[in-house]
Amino acid sequence: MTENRGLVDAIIKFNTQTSGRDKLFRLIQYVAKFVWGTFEARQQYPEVVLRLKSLDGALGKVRKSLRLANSLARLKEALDTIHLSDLVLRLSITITKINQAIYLGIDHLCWANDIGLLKLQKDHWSQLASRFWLITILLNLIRDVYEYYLIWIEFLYQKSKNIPDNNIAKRLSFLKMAACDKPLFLDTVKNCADLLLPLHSLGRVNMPLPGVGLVGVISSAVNLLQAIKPELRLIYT
Amino acid sequence: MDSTSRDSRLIRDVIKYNSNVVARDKLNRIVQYTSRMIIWYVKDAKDMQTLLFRMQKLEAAMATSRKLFRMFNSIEFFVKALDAANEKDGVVRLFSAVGMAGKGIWLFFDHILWFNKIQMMKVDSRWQQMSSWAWLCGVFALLIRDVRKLHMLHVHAIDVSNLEMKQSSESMRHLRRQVEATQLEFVKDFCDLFIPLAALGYANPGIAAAGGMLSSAIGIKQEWSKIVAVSK
Repeated sequence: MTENRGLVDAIIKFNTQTSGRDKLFRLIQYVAKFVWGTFEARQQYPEVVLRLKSLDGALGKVRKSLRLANSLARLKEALDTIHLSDLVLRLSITITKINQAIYLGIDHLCWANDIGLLKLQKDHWSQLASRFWLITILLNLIRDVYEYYLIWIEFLYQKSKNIPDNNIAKRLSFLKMAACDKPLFLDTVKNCADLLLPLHSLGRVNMPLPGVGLVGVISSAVNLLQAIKPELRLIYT
Repeated sequence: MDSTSRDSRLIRDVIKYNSNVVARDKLNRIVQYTSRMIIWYVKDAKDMQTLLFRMQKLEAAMATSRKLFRMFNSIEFFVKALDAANEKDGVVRLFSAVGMAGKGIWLFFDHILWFNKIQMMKVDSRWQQMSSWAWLCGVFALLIRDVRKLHMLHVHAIDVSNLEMKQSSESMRHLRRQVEATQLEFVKDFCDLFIPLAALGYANPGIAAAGGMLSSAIGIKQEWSKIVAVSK
């Protein structure tokens, strides 16, 4: 009973957060993309394809306007993470946040351009936004690799501590230790999936649309899960 | 407190404010109605066509994104209508329930209108009319509720002063806060009344836009005190 209450409370809290709504819309957007991409590839249900395409486009536009002022939030977070004790984490996370802030700033300009408030070269600026997005994801992955490196160090230390007792040493496994860190695992899955999206929009990777949709669904689902259950979120993301 | 820490506290508060859905919506609302006001003002000015074009695009973008943003919030209004059964006074109970139900119906139609706008569905112009009527009835009912609440608070205040009871300053402050909150709510609902009136053609769009701006500003103040001031 208390577990149900906890979940209901989490959903209510999630419902009041702007970032939560954004993650939900992202999931719906990529599901729509996956479905219409699949139908279009098979040349089935043209009516459904048209409607889902409109939904996909509309959700993308709305999410852009929802993200307005998020660049400020990222800069503020960067000012906090600049005080972290671990040097590598301090550098990687702070630079990631600054990079995200720049990406979002360019995204705001693209939004203003889309709705006609500004007149910019659409292709150039959206490509620039995709580039910064790509760098953000790469920086996130660097942080994930570093966290796995720390687990590796811990594993070696545990192993060296237990050399006299062969049984414990045998049962220790790096993969088991790594799998125990659920937030890190989820974050790595999310970043690996996310990596393909800007690569596709920059034309570096040739992916069919259903594939793009699927990859987006995976990363959005993980994002959504982490939003509902904050204990699954990697710290400072 | 020096100015840099005051600025950083303000930024932190703005970010906290922005992260709440209802609060963010009020911000988008004031932008939407301000651009509507500008559109009404420069509509016929021949040398302001670029501004007119940009404001129209901004207003359309804000309106559409707000419609999606509050998707399924109609359920919340229906829940509030049911909660109105807990009100002690009969008049407040009735008009609260009617008001919230009206707003819930309006928002439900609004969801359908969004699906129509993004061409996922096709509905005719009657839905827009029905949506405006539902909103009008809802807001009107809430206005009557606000007036009744103010009347009851006024009577309570007279009773308190008549009985010459030693009321603690705390309870007097609480009463004063309630009166101020209800007065603010009344002004907000009164301003909101003009928006559906203009949509149905009974009022000037400029007045509706001004009303929308004022009610959004009040909404921002209310949300700010709920989200930011409470945590202090």
